[in-house]
Amino acid sequence: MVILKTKAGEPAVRGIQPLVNIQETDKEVILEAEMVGLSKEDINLELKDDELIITGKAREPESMKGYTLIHRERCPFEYVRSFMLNDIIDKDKINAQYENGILKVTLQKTEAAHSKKIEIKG
Amino acid sequence: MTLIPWRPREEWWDPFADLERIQSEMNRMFNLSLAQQGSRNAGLLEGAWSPAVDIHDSKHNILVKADIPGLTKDDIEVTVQGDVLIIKGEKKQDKEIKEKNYVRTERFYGSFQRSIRLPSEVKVDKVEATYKNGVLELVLPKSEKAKPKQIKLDIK
Repeated sequence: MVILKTKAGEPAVRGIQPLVNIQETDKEVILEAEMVGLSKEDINLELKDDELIITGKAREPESMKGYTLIHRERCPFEYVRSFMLNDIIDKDKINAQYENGILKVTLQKTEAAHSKKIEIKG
Repeated sequence: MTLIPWRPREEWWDPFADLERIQSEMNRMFNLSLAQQGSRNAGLLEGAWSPAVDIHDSKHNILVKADIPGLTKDDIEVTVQGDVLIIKGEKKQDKEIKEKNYVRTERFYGSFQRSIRLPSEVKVDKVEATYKNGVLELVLPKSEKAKPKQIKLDIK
């Protein structure tokens, strides 16, 4: 059951979309996004109605005094991605941590949405 | 995604402004799609994923930066052979969570290897490596013979 999805028809915004993995367990949904090169303060999580918006931008461009760039593949650290949350997510219980370039967002499900095992009477 | 954002027409139409807009939009599109792919010209031994790498050169050092999200510093192996730098590692998946719980997987897991030919030979024993926020940073001091030498000539 996919309970989170990228908002369709997203307008073209500056920044790259981070790659994400989403896991769902009985009680929570865990979202992991690859956002290298930021510090914790550079990341912004915003909840606008049902939309969870993740943005991140490195505050200062890396200064490379005395160096000349001779080969480039990496891009500036600017990330944008948003997800639509549905009713089973408890919007007051969202927390996030950033480690080794991965942003991990833990979304708790509401009590009512917890899966319960139903005993079959013989 | 709209290719060209709509803008109110100015009183005097400037065709070059439109061309510039298209060019910047194209650049942005390429950034979006190719940015996370790492290197396009990866070698035979390099698998499905390899980190994107920047190389900076200076008089005394070579600075290499590689984007490797989600590892710890013990998972990364860096070796230098002559003027070839090899970055190896393995991105491991969280074992606690069972595979069936994934509803979306976009991130890559598995081992990777990237070899980079450096612009000059380096002092292998003096290489400094740091790993922070998913970025591996290597400072490789150039070997003495690789440094540019100034030769003084007596002009008569």
